[in-house]
Amino acid sequence: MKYYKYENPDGLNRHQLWLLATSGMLSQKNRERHDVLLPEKEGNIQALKGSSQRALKRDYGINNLSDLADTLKYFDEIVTLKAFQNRWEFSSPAEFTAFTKVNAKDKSIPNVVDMVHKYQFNLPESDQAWHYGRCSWLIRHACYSGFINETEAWQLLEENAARIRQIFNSWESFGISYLAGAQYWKRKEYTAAAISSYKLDLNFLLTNKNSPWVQLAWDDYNN
Amino acid sequence: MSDWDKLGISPINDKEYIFKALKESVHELNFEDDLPQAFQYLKTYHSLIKKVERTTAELNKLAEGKAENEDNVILYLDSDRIYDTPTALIARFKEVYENPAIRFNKLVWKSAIANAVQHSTQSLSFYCMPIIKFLSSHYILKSDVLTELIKAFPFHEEFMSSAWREVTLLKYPELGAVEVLLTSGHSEIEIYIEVLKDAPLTLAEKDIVIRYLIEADEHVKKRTYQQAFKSLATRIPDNKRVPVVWHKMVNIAFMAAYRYHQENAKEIFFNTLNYALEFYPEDAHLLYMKVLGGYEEAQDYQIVKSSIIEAIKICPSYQKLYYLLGKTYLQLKQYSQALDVFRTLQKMDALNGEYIVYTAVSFRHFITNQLQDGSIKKDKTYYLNIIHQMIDQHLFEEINELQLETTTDNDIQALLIFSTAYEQYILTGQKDFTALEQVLTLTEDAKIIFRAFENYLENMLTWEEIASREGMIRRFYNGFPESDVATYHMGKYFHAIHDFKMAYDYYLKALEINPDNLDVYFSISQACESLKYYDLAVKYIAVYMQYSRYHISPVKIMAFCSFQVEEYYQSYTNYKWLFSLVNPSEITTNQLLFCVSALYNYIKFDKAIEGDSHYKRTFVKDELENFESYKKPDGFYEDAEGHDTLYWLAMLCKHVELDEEGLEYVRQIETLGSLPAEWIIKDITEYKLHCMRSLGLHQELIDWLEDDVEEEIQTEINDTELALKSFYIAFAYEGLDNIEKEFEWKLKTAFYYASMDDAESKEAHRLEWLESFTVNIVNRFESIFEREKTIEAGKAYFKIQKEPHFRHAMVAHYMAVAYEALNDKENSLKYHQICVDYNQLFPGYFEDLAEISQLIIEN
Repeated sequence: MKYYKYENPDGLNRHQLWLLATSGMLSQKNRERHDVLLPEKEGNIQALKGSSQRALKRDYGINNLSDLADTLKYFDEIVTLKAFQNRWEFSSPAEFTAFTKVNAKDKSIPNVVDMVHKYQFNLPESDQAWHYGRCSWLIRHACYSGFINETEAWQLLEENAARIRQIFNSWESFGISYLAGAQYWKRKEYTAAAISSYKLDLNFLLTNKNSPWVQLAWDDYNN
Repeated sequence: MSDWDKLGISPINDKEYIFKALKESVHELNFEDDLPQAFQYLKTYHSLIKKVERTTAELNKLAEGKAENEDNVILYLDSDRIYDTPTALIARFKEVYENPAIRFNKLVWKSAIANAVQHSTQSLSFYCMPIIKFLSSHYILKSDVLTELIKAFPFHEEFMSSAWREVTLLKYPELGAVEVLLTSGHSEIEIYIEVLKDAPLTLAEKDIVIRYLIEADEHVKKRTYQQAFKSLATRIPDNKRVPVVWHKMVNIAFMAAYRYHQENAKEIFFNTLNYALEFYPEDAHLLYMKVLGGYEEAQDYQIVKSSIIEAIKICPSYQKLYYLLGKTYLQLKQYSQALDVFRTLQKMDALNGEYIVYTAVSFRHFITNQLQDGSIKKDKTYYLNIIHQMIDQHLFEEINELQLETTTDNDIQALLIFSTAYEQYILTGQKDFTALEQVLTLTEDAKIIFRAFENYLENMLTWEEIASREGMIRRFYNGFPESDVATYHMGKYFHAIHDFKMAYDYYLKALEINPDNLDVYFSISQACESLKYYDLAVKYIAVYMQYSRYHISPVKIMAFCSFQVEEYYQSYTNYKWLFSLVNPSEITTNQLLFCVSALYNYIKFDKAIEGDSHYKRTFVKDELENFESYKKPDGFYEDAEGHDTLYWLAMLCKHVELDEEGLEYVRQIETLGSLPAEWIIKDITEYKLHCMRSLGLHQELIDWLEDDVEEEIQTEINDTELALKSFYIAFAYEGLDNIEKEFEWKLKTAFYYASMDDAESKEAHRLEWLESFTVNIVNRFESIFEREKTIEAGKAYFKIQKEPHFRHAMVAHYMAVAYEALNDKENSLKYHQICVDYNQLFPGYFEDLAEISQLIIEN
């Protein structure tokens, strides 16, 4: 595993660094810097930009600003794990146990219901960090790919961060919610191996001094 | 010592008894000091419970198997009665429904249904409405019973009818719920039946409880939580509230209080909880909710901690209590205890994200504390343990802060040297081999040695490098033969020296030791590919790709090996995925060829889409657009594989009748810088002719071919391609409505084909072709009243078709008609007679024409 030292070479203020920190999980997964706006890495810049553009196109269908706007809106509105929580959150332990014996047509449903059981009462934010965390990362890459300029990128990051602040109250809650989102996304392969890479990234973000989540307090948003 | 010994009991198939043993063991512990022991007991308890559940499951399976075998016997349950009318069947249903011993027994229902189906004298559709009405008030049934009903009776037809929508549902709207029940099922009912299976309630009481639980669920879905709570609080008497009801009430009140912040909800929550505990003082969930409420309200976490520990002593198997304990320790800044709790919980449940996060949080706080507390440096074992943990988490700065100013201890020195080398590797990718070798000579501590070897050998970039590290790899393996990592590296060594079979064997062994080592899956698939074990390569790389789809090399393996085992769709989609991952300039001609070939084979041979020509055409059209977006590598048009790729694209278009696109690929082949293979030229020529005809490019075809064919047809013999070109020229002129030229070329073609050597086995095919072609000429000119041409065509026909044939009658008749139109009555009569004669020779084909000819002769 590789990571970059947290050095803030561009002299960003703590509020700006906080905005970037909301993309922490995906940035760490892709081994990118956390302390600069553009998600740079070592290597050939042209090739990296090409790779960034391909990733935006291939994984999110983003080819231009309009696509980016549509994707951000989609992530803001989508309801995934929450629908299951609304249905099953009030269940008793016996119901959760009995559910495993019900023959669901979609074999991933028992896995999701098990997730609701595990996180019962403790995940009011549901998996929204998975959506908003990815939005932050997409904004940075859209800037890198040239779809938006830096001013626009900071503006979008602000809007995204405002939503995050309304919902979450700590990096821990943000991290749990992100991981729940990853588990939901991979609900068909509901195993420890399926989330092992997310676990490594979370560990880094929550323990290492070169992580933005250790460098910045949650309330540094206000600085 | 066995698990039974650890809990101090004899082996027993009784979960309650085992739980009591756990409780007794935990009760005496001091949680401040004995937390690890508590978790040991818990681990032992879970292990024993699993054993009991496995035994029970096996016994149940045996019982089920027996029941299924007795299916035919069960069907004779109703042998003394007949349910030949809906009334009779419904009466039996009521009997079964009201009997708690058999209501949930699928076979009893199945028997009654089978009886009705067997004896009914009416259509089964007459049973539908009575059953629907029955179910509207008798709906607490398991899904397997509903399935039997759906299989036997045509409810679908009933629900699809306009009478159902326009009349029945308007009159009886409550029957809509039955439609949902039968079409989608009702998992909540199934769950509540299971939950209340052993509840101390009568069947009627269970029905009431289920009814109000479902009502509460409906309110929850609508977010009317107060009504949900009331459904249970006011409708189910206290003494009939089984635990599931109390749990539901408490859960609703908790959420209303602490998540939705509804007024007065806290008071209701605590009152309900305390009242419930009077009925079930040792209910694990109620106790958990009590401490959870306490945690939410917490003024003093010491009190919360005590209450949690008290609850654990009553319900030591309830995992969530330990989680709350861990969080309380965090609040109390008892980070070491918090870390122990969360680490253990993580081992028990690796899928709970909260355990992962709070383990990390606890560790961070713990380390920060350790940095402030100098005591750890005095205890070598503890110190080493902490350093190892910090290396695992890459907390190198903190390790530097913790370093002892001077130390002569070899193990400590070695570990700190390793830490520095590892930090360099993590940050720069560069390994300090010298430092690692120093570590290996300095210490005899197995864990430190293992780490040094592991880092030394990990992520070597080239096979040459791996081969050059043979000595180190063997030392590692000899020191740690039971390690999957060491075994894996042995595999990599053999792989590097191209002994793929040995490599495969070592990789397999590594997987047996640790089936979760993803790196091994990738390497073993590479070895399988080299050994041409393509099916195994696909199997192993599929596992790897479940967790890592963005790594290019595995995708290449999957794409290529899937092709080899004829999984063409999988091969094609993986090539596409590969092209989306790589830089466009990295796409090779060979990959494009395989991609196109895979698509071709999928479209042509895949049984799943056999006969679905619309899908194939649409799919290929879309995929071709995609394909055109790929950058062609340099030299593509000069390379034999490039030619092959274009050829298969053309053939793909031919197969799905995309002639415009196909012709475009043919043109590309024709303009290639170097000549493609002869077989390609032949195939594309034929296809090009077909495309030009179907696309109406008649003049272009004529301009391309006529002069050369005109010349060659005089001199070349037995040239099937020449004959084909002549054929297409003829039809091109037909397309341009140039009758003279059309006639000229059709005759030319017919005579050329007629002259071809029949020595080869194609004779029968040629004759058949020739016959139909020459008849076609006759028909064609007869239909446009070109009499002279009809006659000439007919003469050509008889000249070529020397053998008597049933078509002679038709040709002769048309010639006769043509002669008559030209006032040549003599020849007209002659050919009418020929028609009659051949009809007599071959009756049944052209009777009507022969009849006309006969009439004309007689007149």
